[in-house]
Amino acid sequence: MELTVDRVSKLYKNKIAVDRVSLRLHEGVYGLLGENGAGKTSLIRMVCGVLKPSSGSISFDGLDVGDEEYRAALGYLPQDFGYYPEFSAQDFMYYMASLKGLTKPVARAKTRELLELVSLSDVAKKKIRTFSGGMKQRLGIAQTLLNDPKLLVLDEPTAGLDPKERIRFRNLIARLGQNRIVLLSTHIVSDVEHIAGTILLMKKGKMLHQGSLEDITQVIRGKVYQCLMENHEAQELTRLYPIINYRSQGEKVLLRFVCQGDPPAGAVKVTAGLEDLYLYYFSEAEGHE
Amino acid sequence: MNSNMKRLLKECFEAPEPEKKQEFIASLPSPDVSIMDFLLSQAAYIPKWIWSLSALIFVVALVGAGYLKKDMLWCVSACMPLLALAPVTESGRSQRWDMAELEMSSRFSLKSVLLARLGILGLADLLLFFLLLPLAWMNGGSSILETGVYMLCPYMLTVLLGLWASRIVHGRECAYLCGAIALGVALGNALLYQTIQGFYARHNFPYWVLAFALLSVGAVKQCIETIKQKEEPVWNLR
Repeated sequence: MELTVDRVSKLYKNKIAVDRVSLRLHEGVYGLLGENGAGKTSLIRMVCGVLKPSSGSISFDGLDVGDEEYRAALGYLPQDFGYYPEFSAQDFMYYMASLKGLTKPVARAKTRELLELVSLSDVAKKKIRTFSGGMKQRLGIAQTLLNDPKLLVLDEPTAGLDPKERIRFRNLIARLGQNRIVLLSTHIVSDVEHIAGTILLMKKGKMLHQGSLEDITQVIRGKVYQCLMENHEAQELTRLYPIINYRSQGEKVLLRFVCQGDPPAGAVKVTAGLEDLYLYYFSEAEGHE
Repeated sequence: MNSNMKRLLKECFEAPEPEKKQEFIASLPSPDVSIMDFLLSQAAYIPKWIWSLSALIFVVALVGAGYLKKDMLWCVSACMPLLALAPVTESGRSQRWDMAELEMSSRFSLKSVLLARLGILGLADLLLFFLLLPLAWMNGGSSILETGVYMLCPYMLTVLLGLWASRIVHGRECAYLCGAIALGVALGNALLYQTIQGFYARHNFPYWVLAFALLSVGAVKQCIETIKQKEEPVWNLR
């Protein structure tokens, strides 16, 4: 099982949304991280055949992205999706099942099983327009699994879910990644940190890093410090170092920052995490590079 | 095996937990849906108002021509743009309700869905046209061929303008615009009949044929452009 993205680019008029991205993905969960406008959604849409790449090619086990068989192996949750106004949760699932080529008996059985999985069985016949954001998102996740996809692409799947639901879905996604390719795009760093075996970091259309958590945090390992100081001292430090986090604690300020050389007095070295790396790359901290 | 025996067996032996149940289910060949099954499944998702409107137009024509013995040509012809509204609005429905992305990534993609629904609606409209044709013809002075052309001209004009509008304008505005076009053509047709003497006169028929030919070519062209556009709708940079 292999998804190949070969030097894929996407241009919108004079803006490069995705710039020659190449990937080879196998079974497992891949977390795609990046700020707004980094090109994540464009890349994901191209992987799902919704957008045509300006150049490059995408294939799954030798099947081109435009093939019907490719789409038959795909489960996709877009960042924003709607529904026809007359649809109940069950109607929506049946409709998606018909588009995925499932027969009626299979569609009925799968719908029952998946609505149970996402805890929507008791509201199966209710109109989707009465659902909360979280319920709608759960329904969206359920429809991706109707055809038991080998390639599962989820764009912001945990957006709108409460912390308990998020953790439940995190575990579900991790389980699904055992025998298929799961490509997960999100802003929620902790989701990626917990479940993604490989992290893909995108910035300005380019793939900055790809690798395990240990691999990609290598860049700032041993360079992240934390210290509690007076407000005016903290202001001084923000001019000198890339700041990862700035938090008031009573009269003082707890500062987390990246320091390449000797740290200021009182600063303690801390373990670098994915959030540190994310903030380092995607906040004003990069200006100090 | 009788039910008593089954119950006793259940009581005596505890069935083991199934092993590799999912792998076994996945290994079973899943039955494939035929094109006909797909078409029929899509017919169920065409909004009910479209079928209701078609039925209403037929009933009005039937009552007017059959029971009241009136010349219904102008009325039926004025209703034709409303029939054309159905395929026109259907072409932009996915985008209006944000379903396009999900439909495009499915096995039967948006293009297939649209072709299926437009095909079904086209067939339904054709069937209704043949049902309405004798009703529009029976109390008037035109031949059956002339009646057919008079009926199809406003239909084709609405399809042409509506499909063009649905490629330019998207979302809810598109539905309103297509509705306005259909209503405009319907009212225009009725008004022209009332104000122009000899609107359906035989000596004007060649102009009607010419108009029908041009409108048909235009409508087919717009249909092709609409299907092509569904391969990749214009996305916003979000």
